[in-house]
Amino acid sequence: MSKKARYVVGFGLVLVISLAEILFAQAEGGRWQPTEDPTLLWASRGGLVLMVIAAGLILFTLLLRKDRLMESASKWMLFLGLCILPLPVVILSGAIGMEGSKEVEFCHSCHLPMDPFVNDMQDPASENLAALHYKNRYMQNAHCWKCHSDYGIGGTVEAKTNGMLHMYKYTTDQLGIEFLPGAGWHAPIELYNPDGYNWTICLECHGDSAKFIQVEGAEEPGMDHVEEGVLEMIESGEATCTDCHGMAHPEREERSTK
Amino acid sequence: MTVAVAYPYKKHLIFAGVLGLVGQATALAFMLAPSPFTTVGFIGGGVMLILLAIVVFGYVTFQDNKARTESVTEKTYAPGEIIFRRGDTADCLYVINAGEVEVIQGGEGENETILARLGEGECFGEMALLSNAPRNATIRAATDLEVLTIHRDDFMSLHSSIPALRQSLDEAMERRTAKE
Repeated sequence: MSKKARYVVGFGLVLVISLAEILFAQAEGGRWQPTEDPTLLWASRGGLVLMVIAAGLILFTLLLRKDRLMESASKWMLFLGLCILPLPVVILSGAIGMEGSKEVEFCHSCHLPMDPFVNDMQDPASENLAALHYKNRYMQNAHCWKCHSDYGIGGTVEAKTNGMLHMYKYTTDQLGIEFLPGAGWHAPIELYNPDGYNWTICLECHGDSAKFIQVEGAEEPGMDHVEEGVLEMIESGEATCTDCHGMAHPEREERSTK
Repeated sequence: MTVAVAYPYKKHLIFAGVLGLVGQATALAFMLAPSPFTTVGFIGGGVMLILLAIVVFGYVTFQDNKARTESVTEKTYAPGEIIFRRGDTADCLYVINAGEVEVIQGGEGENETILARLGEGECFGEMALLSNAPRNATIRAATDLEVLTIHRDDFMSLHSSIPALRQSLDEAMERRTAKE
């Protein structure tokens, strides 16, 4: 094996081992970690393998076959590495990254003024709705996302489009760029929906639960939201969940103390 | 007319390769550590770089194939017509499409010696190109002749980049040298 080939193989091995350590690292700290979604896990493994193969093909062709770059075999290897394999890599990494972008840490990395909301949600002593969902793990992850983006593919697209718009406004504001259309932002920030929060999002999880519709024989019979007409009122906007169940986030006067 | 075409696309391919590598590295960063920064890098940069790499690769392949097609031209000769003479400067390779040629050693006419007759599918003129020497024999059309010519630059490029062609020509040269 030539010196160059040894360099390429060595570099490839270091890359694979380094990435494998990141991908397959075991949780530390003694706390129980939920099992990772197998679809995402295998998608990330597959994406990584394809990426390494594609990069390997490109590097092998450019470094070890540079004198025979115009040969048909070189072109086929480049075609695979540049045109075919990157497509699943982009699709997989895009899907995996998009899932990761739904996590609280991702949202919070830009929505810094929402510190009081995030801190309260992660406070075990808080009894606000967001905190109850967080500490009891009614939701396993993506806590901001699940309540603040409408369900379904349309909701995802809308939320991510708005997110990209936010990043554009934030970046142009930070750089002092004013001549671009829609650049920068000015206080006060207003909600997209002037009528307030869309409470039917709560129904996506709760709407068919035994507690909500009070099925016969339930351990903790409560008010039957359907029978009592609450469902209809929520759908028509006459009532909100927080009318009876307390605030989702701390009241304005409480926020500064958190 | 024969069109001389060089293949200056190696740099383009290297450029495409680097674009593809950086694009994939950005996609990997977004997959392993999604953040606003890597999102912008992936959507604003990575995907664009990969698409650009595909475009550059496609352009090179298209141009290369086009150049190779244009570098081959067709010529016709009448019976008895000389295609080139011994001592001429070698500028192209000939492939017989239809008809036959005679390979002549010595002077033309009564003193000539016909070394061989070549027919459809055979090529001639490659020895002078590969040895960078003048033509070592005279070639004359024995019948109505139709040949494809490949310019020296393109032939040398093909010869250096296609091992199968290289091997085939080397074997043909060995056979002819052995006959002589």
